[in-house]
Amino acid sequence: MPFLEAMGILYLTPNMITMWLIGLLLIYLAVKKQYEPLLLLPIGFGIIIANLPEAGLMKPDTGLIWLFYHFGIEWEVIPPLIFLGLGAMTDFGPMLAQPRLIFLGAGAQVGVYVTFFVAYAFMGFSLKEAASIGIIGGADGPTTIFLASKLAPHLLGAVAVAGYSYMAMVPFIQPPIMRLLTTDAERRIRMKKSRKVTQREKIIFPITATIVIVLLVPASAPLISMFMLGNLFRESGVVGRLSDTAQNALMNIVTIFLGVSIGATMDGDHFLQKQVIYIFLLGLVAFMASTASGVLLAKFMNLFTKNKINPLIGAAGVSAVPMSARVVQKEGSRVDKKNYLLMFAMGPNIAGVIGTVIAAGIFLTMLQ
Amino acid sequence: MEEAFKVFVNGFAGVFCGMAILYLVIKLLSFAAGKAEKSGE
Repeated sequence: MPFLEAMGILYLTPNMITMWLIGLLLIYLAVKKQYEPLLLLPIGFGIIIANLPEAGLMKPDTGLIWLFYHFGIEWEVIPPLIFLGLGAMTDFGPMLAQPRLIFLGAGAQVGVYVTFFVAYAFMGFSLKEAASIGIIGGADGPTTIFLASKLAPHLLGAVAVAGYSYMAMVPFIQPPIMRLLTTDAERRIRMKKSRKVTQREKIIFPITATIVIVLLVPASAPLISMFMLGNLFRESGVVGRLSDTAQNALMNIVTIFLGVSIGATMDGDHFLQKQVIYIFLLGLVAFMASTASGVLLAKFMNLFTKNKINPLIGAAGVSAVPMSARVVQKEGSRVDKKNYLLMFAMGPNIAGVIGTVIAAGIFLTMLQ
Repeated sequence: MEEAFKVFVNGFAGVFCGMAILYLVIKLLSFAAGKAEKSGE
C-alpha cells in the first residue's frame, strides 16, 4: 500500500533518534536552565524537525527550512540583520570614554588565532574549518555563523551550538581563569573615572568607524556596516521607530529564522562524527585562551601606564555582551564591594565585538 | 603549515592594526566633537 510505504517511521535511523535526543537536550537547557534560550530553543527544535524521515524540510529548493537557510544564511541576510539590532542596542559611550581599553578587545582575539592554529596543525582540520572553529573564541554568535556559513557550511551547526553553549557558560568558564591570572591587589585596582562622552561624538563615531574599518577590511562590510547603522539609529535620536524595530521586532523575527535554520543543518549522518567532539573541545580552548589573553594584555598595559587598569576587565574583551562584563563586575566586587567595574568592562566588551568582526573579515580575505 | 602561519601572523597584525586606527579615530573625535559640544553648552 502506497500510504504505508510512504510512512516516515519506516525510514527512521538510530542517528535520527540520537539527534532528537540532542535537540531535546538543548530545549531542556533553554527551558530549565535558561541557557541562551532565544537561540537554543529554536535550534533544538530545528534539530528535531530536520531529523524526521521523509519530511523533506531541508530538501534543496523546496524544503521550507532549506529556504530559510538558503535565503537567510547562505545569502548572508540574517547575521547582518542581527548586527543591525545589536548596534541599536549598543552604547559606545564606555568605549569612547576610555579608548585605550579597545586594545583589550583586540587582545581577546588571541584565542581565535591560537585555536585556529591548533585546529589546523594538530587536529587535522582544513584551514577554512580551523578558521570557523577558532572564531568561536570571539564569543560572538552572528559572526561565528557568518564566517562558518562561508568557509565551512558543513560545520555550521556544530560551531554555532558550541559558540552559543559556551556563551551561556561564561559565568563558569571565565572566573577561574581570571582568579588564576590576577592577584588580590590587582583585582582591587580602582579605575579613574571616565569622562563624559558628548552626543555629537556618539553620532559621528558609527559613521567614521564604518568608513575606517571597511576601508581596512572590506570583507567585514556586511556585519560592521549594519552594526554601525543600527547604532546610528539609536544615537541620532530622530528615528526612534527604526531603532525600536531593529532592537525588538526585527531582531526577534530573524532570531527565529536563524535558530531553526541552524538546528536544521544538523542532520544525524553529518553531525554525529568525531569531528564534532573536537569542535566542542577547541571551542572551549578558544574561550579560555581569549579570556586569558585579555587579562594578560591588561597586565602588560599596566607596565606602561600611569592610570592602572584593573586586569579583570581584560576578560570582557571576548564579546559575549554583556555577560562577560557582568562577570568582571562580580569578580571585582568579591574583593572590593565598592569597586564598580561594569561600565569600564563594557568598553572592551563592545570593542571585542568589533575585534571579532575584523578577525572574521581577515579570515575571509585570506581564505575564501 | 606555511599558509596557516601566514594567516596567524596577518590575523594578529590586522586586528591590532585595526584597533590602533580605531583608537586614533576615537582620540581625534574626542578632540574635535567632544570639545565642540562643550563650548556650545
